[in-house]
Amino acid sequence: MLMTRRVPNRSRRSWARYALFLLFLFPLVPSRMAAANLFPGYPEDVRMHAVRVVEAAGPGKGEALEREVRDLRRAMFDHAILSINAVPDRVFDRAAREGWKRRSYDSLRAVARVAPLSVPLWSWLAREDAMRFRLDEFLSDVGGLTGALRQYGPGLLGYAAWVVLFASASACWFAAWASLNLLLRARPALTSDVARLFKGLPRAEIIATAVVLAAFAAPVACGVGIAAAAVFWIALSTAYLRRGELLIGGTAILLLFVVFLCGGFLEAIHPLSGKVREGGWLGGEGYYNRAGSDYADAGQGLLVGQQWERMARFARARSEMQGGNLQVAESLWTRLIEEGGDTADAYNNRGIVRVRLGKTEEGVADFEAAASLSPAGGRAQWNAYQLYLQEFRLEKAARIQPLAWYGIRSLVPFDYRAEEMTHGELVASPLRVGEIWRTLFTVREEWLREARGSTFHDLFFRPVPGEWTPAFLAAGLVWVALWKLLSRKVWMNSSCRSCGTPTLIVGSREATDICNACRAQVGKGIRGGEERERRGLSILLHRRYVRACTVLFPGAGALWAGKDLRTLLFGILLSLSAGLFTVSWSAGRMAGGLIGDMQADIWKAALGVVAVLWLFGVAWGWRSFETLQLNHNVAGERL
Amino acid sequence: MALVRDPPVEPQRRRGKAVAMQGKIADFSIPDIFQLVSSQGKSGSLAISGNDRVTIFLFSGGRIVDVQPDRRGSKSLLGTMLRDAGYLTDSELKRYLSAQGTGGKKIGEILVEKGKVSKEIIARYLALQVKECLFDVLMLREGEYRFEGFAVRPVPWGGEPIRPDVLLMEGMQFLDEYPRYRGIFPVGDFRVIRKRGERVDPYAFSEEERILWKALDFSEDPERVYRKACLTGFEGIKGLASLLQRGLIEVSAAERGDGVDPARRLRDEIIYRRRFDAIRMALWGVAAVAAAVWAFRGLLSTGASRTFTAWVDFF
Repeated sequence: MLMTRRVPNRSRRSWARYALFLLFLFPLVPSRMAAANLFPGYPEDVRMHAVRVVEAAGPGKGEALEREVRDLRRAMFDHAILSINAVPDRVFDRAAREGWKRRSYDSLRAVARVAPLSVPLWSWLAREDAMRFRLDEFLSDVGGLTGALRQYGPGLLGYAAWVVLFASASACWFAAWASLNLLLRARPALTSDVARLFKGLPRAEIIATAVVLAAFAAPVACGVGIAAAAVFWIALSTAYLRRGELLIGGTAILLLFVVFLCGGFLEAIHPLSGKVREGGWLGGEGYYNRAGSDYADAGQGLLVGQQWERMARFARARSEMQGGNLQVAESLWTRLIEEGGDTADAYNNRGIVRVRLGKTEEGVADFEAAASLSPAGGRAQWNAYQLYLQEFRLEKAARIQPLAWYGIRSLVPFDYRAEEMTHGELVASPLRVGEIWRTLFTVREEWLREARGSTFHDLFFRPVPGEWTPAFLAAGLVWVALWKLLSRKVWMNSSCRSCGTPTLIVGSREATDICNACRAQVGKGIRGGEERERRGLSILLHRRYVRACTVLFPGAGALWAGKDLRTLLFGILLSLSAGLFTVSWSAGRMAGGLIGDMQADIWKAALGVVAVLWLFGVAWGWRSFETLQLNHNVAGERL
Repeated sequence: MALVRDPPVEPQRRRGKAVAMQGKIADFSIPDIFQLVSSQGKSGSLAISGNDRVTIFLFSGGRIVDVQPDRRGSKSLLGTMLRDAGYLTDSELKRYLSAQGTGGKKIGEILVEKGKVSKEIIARYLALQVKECLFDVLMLREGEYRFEGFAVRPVPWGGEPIRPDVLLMEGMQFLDEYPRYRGIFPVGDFRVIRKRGERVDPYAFSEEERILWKALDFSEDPERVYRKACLTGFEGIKGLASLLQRGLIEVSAAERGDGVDPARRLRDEIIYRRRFDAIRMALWGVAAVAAAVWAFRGLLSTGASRTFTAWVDFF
């Protein structure tokens, strides 16, 4: 039977052609399709220009990108939009995706003109400048960062949250470091005293060691929070500490109270964080407010007060203005002006709205009123100057031109260039939030209330009930003071800092924390035989113990050497580094984009500092203790 | 009854050595032997054996220059005496003895060379060693003696040669008085301590009492106190009896277990403390690791990280 050769329905070559076609097609299509989602809420023309900016960004595309940035700026001016914070995020995402993240500096610097309120952008630029040793640009970017923080509400709150979290993490590290160090410092004497309780039993030292070890390990085994355990350990070691060491313990407890309050502060401001990109009043500048700001959004009832309410109404008027609801916006600005207070910005913004509505004369009047109220504010001067030009009032325009040009150039962080702005761009006034800094950090009763159920409380103070936490911390401090006083009246053990010999003492610990043999510098003992051998062994074991403590808990050796205040300073430095690592490491892992990139570098640097400080603490403590022993003729002979 | 004892046997050659004289202690008493060697200014070695032990005295010109006690558990070995007196630790003694084995030097010579103990102290303890050995052999009732004559050169690190007749005087006194003084104290081992709160004037003491009083601070074991004071057992117990009669010391019978060698007890205690400390360090190390994990979970775990990343939500 003759069989014909089987021919496939579709050749492999045709599949390859389709694949090649799709390969070329896909990169073109998604950018246009996804444009609608990249900048949600913004007017169509603004969104289109913003997408073009993102697409134009890249290494070696400076001129094209500059052109797109100028076009986007014009579109933003038309809608009184001052900043689109999503632009640098999108550019950075694209750079990371396409592998030119490390060469994205020029592109991101260029887009800073359309995202001047982006705090992460300015921070990222400042970090890059610092790494490239560009001092001028660095100072300029730090200025931009400061300006953005004053005018971008979420940035200010985020910065406040960062400061509070950094301080809390540092305080927790300090408490853990201090409490463990102090307990290990007090352990020999504490064990000797516990052994006294079991005097009648054989091998009382074994029982005492087990009891002290159990007291140390119990909070760890039970999963008690760091703060609660730290207070317990400090209280346990109080009676055996010097005054300087008590200062370390007391500082730790006070810092833990601050941590507790910080928990309340974070709880108070945290609901606002969700409003940033989704239309809350705090997102009024930097992100487009789709829903329009509502008075009820103002601080979720937590940040209340006349100042906050006025800011909420200002944000709402800005939102209506950007959304094109000019009539509503005009009435809102008018109401704000009628209320009084600092009305320069409201006059300026109402002037823009009125010009858009065709009420040029009224607009000019508003600009002049704003300029008279705040002559240093360059926006109103500039807007008036632009209108004079449009109305051919050249004499007036010429008169205020120097002021207008100078004023518009000095608006940090907005990089306005008068020579580009020849098409009647009017500059709106943003929501100013710099003044609320003090209000934000004023201690309030609700912080204490919120702190009782805060995340910090669950994390650090469990199992102490929230209502009892302040009392618990206060009791810790009182216990430290009382027990210290009581220990001056009760015979208790003291361990010689130099040789470790336990001695029963009563009275001031400072006067007796070096034993008589060490004071007399008799080395291993004035007599020979058993006593000499026992003393030698005691010195050997003590030295080994202190060295182990120094390696595990840097600075412990210096504590044994009596350098209390210097150890306190060292502990603070170490804790600050560890706190920075904690805050940055978490953000570096969890946040993406510019923030994640920056934080990844910061946590690496912080970890390096922690490692260096750790090594320094070990070496310093080791050497301090060696010197102490040498001074007391204890370390002369290797045992 | 034979009032005149048999004279010593004639000198004879044995194993190639010239043997001056030898015989039994029962026939020729030890004081007589010492007096004979001393009066004739002989040099050589006098070996006295009895109670399964052999003690060898070396003479130079009729004076005792050195003694070699029996090594089988004798407390009169120089190294043991110095250790009991606190000049050496047990480990140091072992180290020096092993060095002695390789170098062939005497322990006293090594200690002086190393600067561990001064020449004067070695001389004092060598003299004490000679005394104690002589007192020991004086108590022998049965045994043998053998004197071999040869030239003996005194060691440079030793003390002055000792006249046997002077020692024999003390020895006779010891034989007469020791039972009386010993009877004052409890039978068997006992402990002695200074009476608390007693004010004393050390200058009212005799030399021996003063040394003994100072040494009482060293140990409760009278044997170690004698060693520290560099006194013989007889001198020591005599001094203690005097202090006891003045009411300056308290004496108590030793408890069960006190009979253990103090050096061994100290060694055991050191081993125990080292082991205990190592175990304690290990346990605390484990606890520290657990604390580190706990701190990590408290500040760097996923839950804690979410809390510490809350600031990102504002941007």
